[in-house]
Amino acid sequence: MKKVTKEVIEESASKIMIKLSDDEVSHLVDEFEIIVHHMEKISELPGVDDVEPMTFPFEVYNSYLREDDASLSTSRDELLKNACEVKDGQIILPRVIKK
Amino acid sequence: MNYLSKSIKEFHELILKGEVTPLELVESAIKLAKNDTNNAFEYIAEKEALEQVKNLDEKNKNNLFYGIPVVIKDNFSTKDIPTTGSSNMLNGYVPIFSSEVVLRLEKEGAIIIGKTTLDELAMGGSGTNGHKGATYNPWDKTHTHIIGGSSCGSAAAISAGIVPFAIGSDTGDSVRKPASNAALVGFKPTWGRISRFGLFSFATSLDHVAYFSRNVFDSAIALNVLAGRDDKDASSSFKEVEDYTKDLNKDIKGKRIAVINQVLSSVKNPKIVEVFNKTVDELRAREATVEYIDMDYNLLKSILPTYIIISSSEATSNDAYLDGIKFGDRQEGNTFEEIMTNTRTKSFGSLIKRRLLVGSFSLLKENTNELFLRAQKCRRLIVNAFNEVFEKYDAIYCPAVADVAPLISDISHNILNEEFLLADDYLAFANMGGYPSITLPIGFDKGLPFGANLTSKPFSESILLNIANKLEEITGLKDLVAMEK
Repeated sequence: MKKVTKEVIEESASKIMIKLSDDEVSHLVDEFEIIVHHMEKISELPGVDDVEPMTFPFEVYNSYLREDDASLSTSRDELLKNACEVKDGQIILPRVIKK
Repeated sequence: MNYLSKSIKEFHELILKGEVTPLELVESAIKLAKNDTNNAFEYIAEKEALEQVKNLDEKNKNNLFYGIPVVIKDNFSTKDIPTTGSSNMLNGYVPIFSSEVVLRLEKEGAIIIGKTTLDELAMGGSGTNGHKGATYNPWDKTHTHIIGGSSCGSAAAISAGIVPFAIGSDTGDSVRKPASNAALVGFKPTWGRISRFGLFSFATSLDHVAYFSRNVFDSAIALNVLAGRDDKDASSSFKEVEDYTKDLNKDIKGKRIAVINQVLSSVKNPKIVEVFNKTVDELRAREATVEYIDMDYNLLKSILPTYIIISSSEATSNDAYLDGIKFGDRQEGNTFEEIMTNTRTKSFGSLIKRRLLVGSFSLLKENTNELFLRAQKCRRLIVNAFNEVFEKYDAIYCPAVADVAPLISDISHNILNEEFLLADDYLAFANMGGYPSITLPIGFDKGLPFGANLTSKPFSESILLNIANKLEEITGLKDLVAMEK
């Protein structure tokens, strides 16, 4: 496992497009150490690595296929209603390829 | 009329008798909401509610929710009504559709009078982390104690007597903990029992629709309205919906109930233990078999860190769509990446950023085995252990908290502390296993309420509500309201 350092915190932040202040980074170093410590205790639980990871509360088996109906649809205008800047049915963003 | 402590059923009867009209009820509720001093509201939907009352169809007046004012936690989409999740990220966002629970309530004739505050995007348990600041506990007139979260505003609105019913969401204990702090019934049915369509996802494998009511009967009738398959939510269950009121008054003779010693012994407040044990005596007097059982303490202590790792990791993925591009409070930038980064940096509160970072850290390639996957494996051990208990018992019964609502000044702003009390942080086991779980009031200490929790196996809501109803009869604590206006 990666050691908890300022650099690792910043790497984790950049992956989710968040910038942190120095104070936030130093707070997180402390918090991560506590979390890692708790997880080390969990690694000592008997049998913890002998079971499959659980991704949902219980197994649900469905064996049906729905009809291929377009039952839910929304107009483009509605979808764009909350966007900041819109032109010709498109959201305006800075140019990707500069002139 | 002064209707502060009335239940849904009582309102319904008054409406049928013509002693009050839906318009009068809704106008009173809106007036109270406008005078709210607990920071319960993100938005008071006055115009929309009055319009809804006008459009009520009298042929539906036999529906129990007909004309009943309700509030909705602000992480449920409401068409044409602003929905922020108490996050600056979504300031100004107006959904173009309504969540399924909102549609079902409206179909029954319920009137949505407002959207309520929460810990930002439902992350946090104190009710102090929303973009509008702390929400206060109506039982504490000094505004120094928390009501708890994340469904803080919904709890405050019903507890202060503004409405008799409030929708919340529960990913770890976000309805069942504030219910204890506010003398309310807080109910989280089985995972999949109620559609989550339109609920902002926090941690998909743990998120549940949940709600507050003033008594167990109201909780049962609400489930009758809200339960059932919804094709818009692939995780909603096909399992048949029952009439959840039908077994409420059955006697509980022979019902088997387990109390977990390790939870009980970590309760800090001796008054809670004393009152709780008296309720056990009363359950036994009604010929229920109540046994104090042991579970692995280390496994129980792993519930909170396991919850933190799984929920934060899922949130990291679920909240990736909050980028300021399609909607939300967009910040300036020279490229679209800069816009996204600047928006997420400025608009997320500190706790959210740190939680998302925990998720990102847990999902780093080098860490995933020892953090995310191990937490998922630990979840299976936890659920296996509780499933074993449910093979022998109809329900687990324990205090819902270690103490009454703490002071706001004593709240830790850490995601996880080195030490914590099991009784304060065990309820997430019911989210991990998807179990139906209900908290209801059992007593007061120095004017502040405390509750106990009952949990049972998936889709056993009728049994759970039956035992809860008997417990309510034992305590006599129902239809409680914190203050007269």
